[in-house]
Amino acid sequence: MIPSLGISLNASEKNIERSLVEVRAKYATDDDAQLVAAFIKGDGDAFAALVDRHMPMVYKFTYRYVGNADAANDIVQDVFIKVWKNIKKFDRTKNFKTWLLTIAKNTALDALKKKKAVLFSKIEEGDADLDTFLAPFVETPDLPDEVLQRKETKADLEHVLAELSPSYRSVLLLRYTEHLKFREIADALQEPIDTIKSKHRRALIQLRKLLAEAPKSAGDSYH
Amino acid sequence: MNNNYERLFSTLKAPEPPTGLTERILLRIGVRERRMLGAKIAVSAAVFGASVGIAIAGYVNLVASLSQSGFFQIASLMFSDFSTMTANFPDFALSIMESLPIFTTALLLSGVLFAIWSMAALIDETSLFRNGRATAFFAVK
Repeated sequence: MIPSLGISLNASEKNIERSLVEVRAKYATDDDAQLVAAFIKGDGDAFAALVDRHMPMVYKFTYRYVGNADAANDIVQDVFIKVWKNIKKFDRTKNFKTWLLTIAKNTALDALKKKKAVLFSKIEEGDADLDTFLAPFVETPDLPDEVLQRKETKADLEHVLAELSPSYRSVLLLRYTEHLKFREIADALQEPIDTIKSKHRRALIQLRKLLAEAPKSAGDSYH
Repeated sequence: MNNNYERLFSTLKAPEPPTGLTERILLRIGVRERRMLGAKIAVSAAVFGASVGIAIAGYVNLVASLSQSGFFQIASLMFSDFSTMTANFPDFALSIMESLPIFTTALLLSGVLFAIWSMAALIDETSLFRNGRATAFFAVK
C-alpha cells in the first residue's frame, strides 16, 4: 500500500503553501534517500518535501524536452504521480534524481509520441550509434571562442536547441544545465554510457553547426 | 567538460515553473489517493459481506453435519461417562475426529477469519476517508 500523503481535499493552495514552508524547514538537512525512506514508513510530509525539492529541475528538463510550457506543466504532474505510485520500487542505493529524470524523460517521450509533435524517427535520431565503439576515443568538438563571444550565439541558443532532436537535447541539457556525469546521464536515459558519449559528441557537432548557421538563417527569416 | 559549452549553456534562461505547481501536484495526488481509498473501501466491504455470508452458511452446515455425524452424542460421553472416556481415550479421540465435518469447519473458520480481517481493513480505511489522513499532511484542521 502506498503511504498516505494525508491531503485534505478541502485544503486550499494557500494552506498547502504555508505547510510547504514548514516542510521545507523540517527536512532541510535530509537527503533524498532519507526522505524516500521516511515516506515509505508513512511520513507523508517527506514526499511533499521531495516534490518541493525536485519539481523545478523536472519542470526545466521537461520544458526543454517538449518545448512547450503547458505540456511541461501536465507532464511534471504526471511524473510525480508516477513517482508516488512507484516509490516502493525505487532502489535506495541509487540516485533519486537520476531515477526521477528517467521517469521524466519517459513521460515526456510518451507525451510527444501521443501528440505526434515530433516524428518518432526524429525522437530516436542518433540511436543507431554506428560509431558507439569509437565514441570514447574521439574528442568532443570545441566551441571556438569567437562563436561564444558573438551576441547572436547566446540569443540563438534556445532556438537552436529546439531544432535538435529531443534525444540530443536531453543529453546536452543534463550535461550542461544539470551538470550530470555521463554515467548519471546514461542511468537517467537508460542507455549505455558509450551511446550517451556518442550522442553527446554528435549533439555538440550539430549544435556548433546550427550556431554557425544561425545568424544567416535568422537574417533570412526577416525577408 | 568543455568550458565554452559550460559558459554557453549558463546563458540559457531557466524556464520558471508556474506558481503553485507543487501545490497542484500534491492536490492531484490527494485526489488520486482518495479515489484509491474509495475503491479499497468498496473491495473491503464486498469481502466483508461475502465472508459473513460464508461464515453463516458454514455455521448452518456445520450444525447440521455435527448432528448427522453423531458428534454431539459422542461428545456428550465426556460429561455423562468421564471414566469410560478416559479409559478408552484413543478410541474416543478417533471417534470424535471421524465425526467432525472437516470441510464445513474449515469453511466456518475461514469465513470468520476473513470477516475479521476485512472488517479491520474497512474500519481503518473508512476512518482515513472520513477524517483525513493518518499522516495529516496539509490537512486543514
